[in-house]
Amino acid sequence: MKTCVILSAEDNIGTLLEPGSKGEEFRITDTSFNELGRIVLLADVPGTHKIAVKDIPEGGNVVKYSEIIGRASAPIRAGEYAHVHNIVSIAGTHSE
Amino acid sequence: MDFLGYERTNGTVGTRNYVLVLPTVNCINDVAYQLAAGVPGVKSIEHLTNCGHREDTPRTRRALAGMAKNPNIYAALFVGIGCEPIDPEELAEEVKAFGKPALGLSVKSVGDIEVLLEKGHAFLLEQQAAAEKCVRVPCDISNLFVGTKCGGSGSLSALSNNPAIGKAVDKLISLGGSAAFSETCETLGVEHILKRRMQEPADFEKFCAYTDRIKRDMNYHKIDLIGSEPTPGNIASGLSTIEEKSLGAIMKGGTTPIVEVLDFCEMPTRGHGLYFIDSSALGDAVLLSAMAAGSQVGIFSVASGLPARFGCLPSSSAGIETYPTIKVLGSYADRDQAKYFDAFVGDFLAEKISLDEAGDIVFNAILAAASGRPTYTEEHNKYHAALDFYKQGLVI
Repeated sequence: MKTCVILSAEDNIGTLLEPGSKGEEFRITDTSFNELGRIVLLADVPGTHKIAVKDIPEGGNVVKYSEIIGRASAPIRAGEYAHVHNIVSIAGTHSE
Repeated sequence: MDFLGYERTNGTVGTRNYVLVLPTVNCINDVAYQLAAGVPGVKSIEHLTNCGHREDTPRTRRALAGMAKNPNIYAALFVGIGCEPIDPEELAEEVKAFGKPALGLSVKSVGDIEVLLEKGHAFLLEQQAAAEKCVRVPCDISNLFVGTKCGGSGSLSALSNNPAIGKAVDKLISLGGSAAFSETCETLGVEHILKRRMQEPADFEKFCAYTDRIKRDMNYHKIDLIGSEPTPGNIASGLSTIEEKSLGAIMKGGTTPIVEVLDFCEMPTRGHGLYFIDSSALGDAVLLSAMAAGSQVGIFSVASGLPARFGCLPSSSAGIETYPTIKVLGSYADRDQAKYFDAFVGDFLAEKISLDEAGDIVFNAILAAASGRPTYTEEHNKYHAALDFYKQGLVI
């Protein structure tokens, strides 16, 4: 079974090591490849890209490495493709 | 643990043994090139800055002096015109005081370009002959200082190549060696993590001045980083934000405390360990900053995406000629490209090796390059980087 890696238990997004298709089941592992659970993709996702592994509300923190890597610009359901279309940077956005 | 290096009379240890010609202004690049071409083995590096700078003058000067002081350089010749803000004779005096052969010549001081070529040629002939008498001897690994740079970053960078490099860096530092990471823009969003790792409170203030400058410029120009940090290539490889890229980038620095925060091309003063150096994220500037700080081996980290597929091309070549730079590939899917790299750690992602083993692959590649094994770039690339001085000030 294909692998979706999360870098810490607090993460709400994971990285697919291979491309996945809508409806395909992936195992969720830690960085030592221990299986932590399974998840079904809600969309086609390119390899090395990310999916939400937990539901993230609009405006919610997107967490990877147990650190905030941005905010959800739309609700992201578990299994949904998570990338620049629904994640915005905080540190990389200018202030008015 | 030993590697085979060149012991310098001032106590430093080189991994390469070059006589180098450095132009102090772009106007004399061609003369520097001619001088180097006239003596087999001698290298010259193109200077990208003219004389029209003010705030950047100290940084440019420090870079030139640092390049000559680097242990991989046996001797250095500075050449200038005489009307630029950086005086080649003063630079040579500084390098001589550091304990190595140097000469500075300007057209103004010698009076004529033909005289400069004649005097420069004589110096290079003499120094190259002396350099060729140097032989590699076993040197303790604590003399080794590696600089790191990542390119072609993607989501895999944080899972494979950068943590493997971090393991190698931790091991080198545990053996008494040193390492540096830089790319100030790729610390945005992770300043709080680096703060915890800095030992001196003043270092964090120094560091914040670097990141504040980027934030000030973003706000002044009303620009967001997306599209540049991360780049379109990074985004295509799965990175979504600068925070995500930064978290992966800092993994190259391993896990030890940051013993010193350094300005661009500043030399460490507090002994061995891990340093952070202010620099742009551009490869030539990052590697120059490490080299001028005294690093003798570079590491160029590549994850997935296009850069993994153009391993033989210049823009990922890490091509400062006097600085052996190993290229590390982290993507398992790109394993057929491993022939273009000095170390391949992608097997970790296929669960064939542990992260410790991936770190050892990088560590062994560092040792081999340090002991004289030519890097892929040294053997195959025709591209030679120019001196990118990380200009920040007013361009006149």
